[in-house]
Amino acid sequence: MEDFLWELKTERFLKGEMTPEELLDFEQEQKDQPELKEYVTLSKQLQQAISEKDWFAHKNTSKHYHTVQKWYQEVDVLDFKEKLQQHADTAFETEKKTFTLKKYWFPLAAACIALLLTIVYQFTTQPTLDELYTQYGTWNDTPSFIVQDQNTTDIKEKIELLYKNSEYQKCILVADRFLNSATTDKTNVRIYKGFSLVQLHQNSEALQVFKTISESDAIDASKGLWYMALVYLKTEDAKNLQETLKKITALKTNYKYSEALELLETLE
Amino acid sequence: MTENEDCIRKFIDGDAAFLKQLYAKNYFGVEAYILKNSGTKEQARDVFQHGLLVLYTLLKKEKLQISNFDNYLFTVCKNFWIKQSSQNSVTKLNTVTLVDESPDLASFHIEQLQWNLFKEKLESLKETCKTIIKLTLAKVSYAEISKKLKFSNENAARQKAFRCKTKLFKMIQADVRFKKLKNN
Repeated sequence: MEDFLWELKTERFLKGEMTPEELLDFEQEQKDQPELKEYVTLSKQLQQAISEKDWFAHKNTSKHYHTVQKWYQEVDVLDFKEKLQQHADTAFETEKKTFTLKKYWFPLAAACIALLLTIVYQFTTQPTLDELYTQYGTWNDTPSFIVQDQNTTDIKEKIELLYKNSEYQKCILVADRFLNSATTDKTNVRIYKGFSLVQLHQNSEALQVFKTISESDAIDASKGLWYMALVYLKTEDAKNLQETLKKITALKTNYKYSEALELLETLE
Repeated sequence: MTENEDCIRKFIDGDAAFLKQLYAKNYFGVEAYILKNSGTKEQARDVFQHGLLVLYTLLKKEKLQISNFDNYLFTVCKNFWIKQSSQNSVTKLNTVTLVDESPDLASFHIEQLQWNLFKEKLESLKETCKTIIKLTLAKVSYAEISKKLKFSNENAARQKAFRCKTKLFKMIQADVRFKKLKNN
């Protein structure tokens, strides 16, 4: 029964629950009773042995301790220590190199990913309006005036020749003269005028000409829409470009329907 | 010769290939444990070096018998870290150090042997005793222990814990190693 009291006291002692007076009494008890002292020591050691946080805190004074200390000063142990150090130098240096590689691996990987994304971007991202204009903005599909009556054909041929000779200003003057007097076949001449204005970078005027074509009751009035679209593309007016392309794609028979659809899908 | 015995022999002989493999195989487990328990890589390396040296001395000088070389090496390193972190001291192993590390290493060496003795005897107890001792050391209340292990009341649990503990201490005291390791 007395032993069980030891346990109760030891438990409170190890938990630090004793009052200073109780502590003094318990320490005196341990001095008086070596068995109690051993019980307390064993309890403490058990706690430390099982714990994942505490370790044996007391200084060891056993005879064996002195033997062990001498062992750690003996040549064979010191040689082994030296050998371990050499292996550690190699092993940890290798690890260090690995970590160095790791250190550079991330920026290297990031650079590769960036490069890859750039490549992918080049091939997959939406081209700019400028790039699309380079692709679609051709002003060479001019009409031919071969089958026309002689006089008119002469004027139209002149317009055609002037345009093909890059005499855009003169082409516009001759075209205006024709349009002011003619009553038929104005669409093709307007096309030359519009094209010449585009070549002279008079885009607003060109747009007006193409608009007139698109609003006419000519059979190829839809050509006006396509040329308007090209001007919007050239001037990078995305909003009007898309609106115009939508008008073209509204009817399959419209001029350049497929191209307009393709361009619209690219933009969207 | 078993694989474990072969490991021990090569380790004690300082077999270069074995030691090289040992670093590659065993170090990262120790490092992971120490990093997880608030240590650094540098501390992990120091602990591993100390652990290997203590294990060498235990095996060669004490002729310690161990059943699993890898597991025991980890245990030694783990305990060395618990000692270091509980004492808030960091001992660095350095071949060119002028500080004599033998007192610290000898202390840990003895403590590791004490730890072996306590663990071994605890594990040899019956399951109920083992459990109740572990629960009391984990500071689980007797009320909870009583409920968990189905004792009639709290006092019965306390009495049982005491009997188990007494039995364990008697086993430890009866072991020849106890007198060798016991403080004078």
